[in-house]
Amino acid sequence: MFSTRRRPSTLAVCACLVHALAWSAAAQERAISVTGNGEVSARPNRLQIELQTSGMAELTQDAIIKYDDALRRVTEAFEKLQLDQLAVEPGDISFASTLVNNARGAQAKPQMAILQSIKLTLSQVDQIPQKELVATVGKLIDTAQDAGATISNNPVGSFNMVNQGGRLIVRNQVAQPLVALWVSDFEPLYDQAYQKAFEDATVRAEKLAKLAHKKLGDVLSIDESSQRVYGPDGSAVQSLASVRLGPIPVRASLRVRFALLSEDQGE
Amino acid sequence: MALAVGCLLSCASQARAQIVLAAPVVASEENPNEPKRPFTLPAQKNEVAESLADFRRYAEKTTWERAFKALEKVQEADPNALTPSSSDGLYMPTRQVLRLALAELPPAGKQAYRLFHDADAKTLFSQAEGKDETEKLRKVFNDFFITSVGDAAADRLGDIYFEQGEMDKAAECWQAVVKWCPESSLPRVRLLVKSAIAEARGGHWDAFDDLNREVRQRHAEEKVVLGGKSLAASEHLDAFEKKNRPETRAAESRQPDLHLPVADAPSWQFRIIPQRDASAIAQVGMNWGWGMRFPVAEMVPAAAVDDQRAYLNFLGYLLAVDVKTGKLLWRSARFSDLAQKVQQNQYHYPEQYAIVVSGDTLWCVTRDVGQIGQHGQPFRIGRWEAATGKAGWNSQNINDLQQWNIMGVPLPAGDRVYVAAAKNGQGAEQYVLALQASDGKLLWSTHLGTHQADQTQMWHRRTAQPSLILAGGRLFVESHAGGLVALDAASGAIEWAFAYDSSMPDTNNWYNQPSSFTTLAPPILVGKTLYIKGMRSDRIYAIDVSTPKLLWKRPVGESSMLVGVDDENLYLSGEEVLAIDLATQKLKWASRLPNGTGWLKPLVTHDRVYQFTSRGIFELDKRNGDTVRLFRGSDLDSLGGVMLATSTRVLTVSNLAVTAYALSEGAGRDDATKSAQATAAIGAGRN
Repeated sequence: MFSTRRRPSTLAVCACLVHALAWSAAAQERAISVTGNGEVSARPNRLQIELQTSGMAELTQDAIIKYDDALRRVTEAFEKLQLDQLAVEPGDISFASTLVNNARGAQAKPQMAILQSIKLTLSQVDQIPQKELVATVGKLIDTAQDAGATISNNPVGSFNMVNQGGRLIVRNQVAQPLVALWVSDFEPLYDQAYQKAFEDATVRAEKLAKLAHKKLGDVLSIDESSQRVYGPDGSAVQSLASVRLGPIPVRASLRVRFALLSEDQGE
Repeated sequence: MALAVGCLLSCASQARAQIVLAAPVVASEENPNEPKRPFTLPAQKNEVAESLADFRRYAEKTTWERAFKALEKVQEADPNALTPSSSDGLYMPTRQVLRLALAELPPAGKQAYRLFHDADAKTLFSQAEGKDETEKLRKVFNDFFITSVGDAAADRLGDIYFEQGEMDKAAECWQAVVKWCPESSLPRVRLLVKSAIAEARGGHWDAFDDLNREVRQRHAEEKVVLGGKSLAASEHLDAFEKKNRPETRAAESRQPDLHLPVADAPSWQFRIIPQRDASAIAQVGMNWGWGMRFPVAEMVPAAAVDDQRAYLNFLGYLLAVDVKTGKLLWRSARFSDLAQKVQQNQYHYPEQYAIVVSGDTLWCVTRDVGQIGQHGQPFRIGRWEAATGKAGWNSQNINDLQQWNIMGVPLPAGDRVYVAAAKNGQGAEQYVLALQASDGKLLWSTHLGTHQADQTQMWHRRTAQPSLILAGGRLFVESHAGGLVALDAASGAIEWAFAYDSSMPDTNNWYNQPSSFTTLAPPILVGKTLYIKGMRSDRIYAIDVSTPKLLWKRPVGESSMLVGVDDENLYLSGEEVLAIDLATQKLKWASRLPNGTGWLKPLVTHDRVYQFTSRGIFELDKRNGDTVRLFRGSDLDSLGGVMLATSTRVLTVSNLAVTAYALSEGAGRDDATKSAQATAAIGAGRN
């Protein structure tokens, strides 16, 4: 996922290690290791909603017609919104067969289901005022539900929801987020985070060296102590995505080993 | 079904391009070939059907003696009990099946039968005098119809039945001669005319039309002697029709569309219960510790409407609201403690409460509000003054009716009201009753069949509440459990029945049992074709009721319900709205709508289907199912439900409120809503 150009390569680290091994044990003692952290953040610029449509029937031909109609209605409903930044992309199709056997002792009747995922992508959301963005998201969710689509992140069917007195209660379930927010071009952010982490490590090392009446020498090694990116809720995410509308942080952590020199050394 | 789809949908996001095959279900060990039916018709024992099969087999081999010997067991059986008349689920009274079996014999078979039985038949016919006349003629007609005196016996028996007012039986006698005795010397035109008059007197005007058409086409110039007078046959029937035929209302499929208002704001809204009470009722299954949703959690109260008032039967509390203003006009009692009463017991059966307005009278099926949810307490039928709420007679106070637990939506018709029922403590035995509208006198009761599951034990599922429709003097009772019965409305005699595929209701209950999406709608009769879809059936059937004959059947989702028929399509609703081409029975389109409650009552007009959902009223184009308009309205906290219409308003009834919207000015609005009202007022989300 990360290019070797932007991060200290394994090769480089190995080279440092070989170089260090070539030194004497005394030389190793004249070194200092510190950890530096860097963090930058960015507003998401892309919003995604995953939908499902389906057609299910005992007759396969009926299931196909239901599937076709469902997909057409959902697609047309979003076309009618005329949102320039909205892309509607049909995704994977699944076929499933199940046996419905409600009657005791009766022959089970197979049902064919055709399931279609649909991805809604709204781009340039970082350029939309927050109020307008919230309204647009609401419009997308309403359109999906009115058109008969299921929003995938919703772990329960609508039938299990009880709307009592305006309060939405999802039985035995914690309500799940419906929208994912993404940063499209995130690699420059990693560059910045590493730069900050290295600078942080250098500052720390200088402080420690000063305490020891030494001064910093060359960088002997760099370890990438963490590659994880944390979402705003503190849990690790695989890529730059969030379920909340707000800045997405990118954190980097480096362990850097500096040579320690006498204050008179190298002058 | 909803659960299955939900499961599939939730799996689909994880499993890409997968094919999942569930394990096959092993057939019942008790009877692997014939699974138990959830509803059994009052049919003969199997041995009668087996004897008929033997008769047909021997007749095919022209071993006449054995064939007629096999028939003796059929002749000894109850002539009025039902026997399968075909392999497609139709049942006829045994006497008719027997007569048909004899009439269909080849000439050699008929000759042999006469050889065996002509002497007996002649003896019986000659002895048919005095008090034994009817019985002996009936014996000849039923058992020896194809003998040399069969036609004469049928004609005389028809005359007797006619004089006794048993019009269906009279017509049956005369038509049997017309149909099966081409060699009879009796004047055919006379039999046709008598038969037509009997059908009309019995209210079967469709049959009258057919017979009149035949007289006009084949016997236009012929005369008949009736009552000592010689009359031109065709002219006589026309004159009879002009004098006696009642006016009929326009077909429902021709209702013009509704013009929903531009703004969401209602004309008025009547909140049925506070939100906290609705929440309490919705949670009642949880509070009892079952962790399941009881039917009462998503119920929509029974509702009816006329041009002046909207009426509710909310678990036994009756009330009327002014259609123009939304003001409460009267109520049977305050119901501030309703939620508390609902939570005390679990045998609610909300689907059994019904209300119908007919002229100035409200007909309600209800039980005392002090007995809400109590096990074993029967439902009663009663009448109330629609304007004032003043109570009239109640079956609780009528001796002959005290043993009956009333079910389904009552069907008032003239001086009668028809209603389904079961005897107290015998919840599996299904009956239909005819009551005198003025005083509740029981006119007749007919046993229709037996549920496999006692309906009074199904507190955790919607029970099968029969639907009744009356047409042409014939009463159709759809059990919603796998059996439809056609009766003579005058006498209650079963004319024929139809057994259809239906799931066995799950009588087991367990903790955290998932609820199922269940809908229910009455059959629809268009001309001679009756469309039926039982509440737990995954088939829709079209039956020609004049023959009767199964025209076609096709699979549909079990959770779907019939909502309308027009010249081209049949419309179903439920989890999705569907249009099925009548000519090809192919699915034309499907439109999935948001689900809330299964207690739906959509409206179907000339070009539109309207459905009240949890997200507003969807107005669908009947041609393609596209949403023409989504009218959000003002009851978005609810689960959706029932739509009713008057000449000036469209009303939605949900679990929370009755909401009225003024119809926009538009051509044909009044006509539209009058017809729509006729359709909608028969029951709220029920039948």
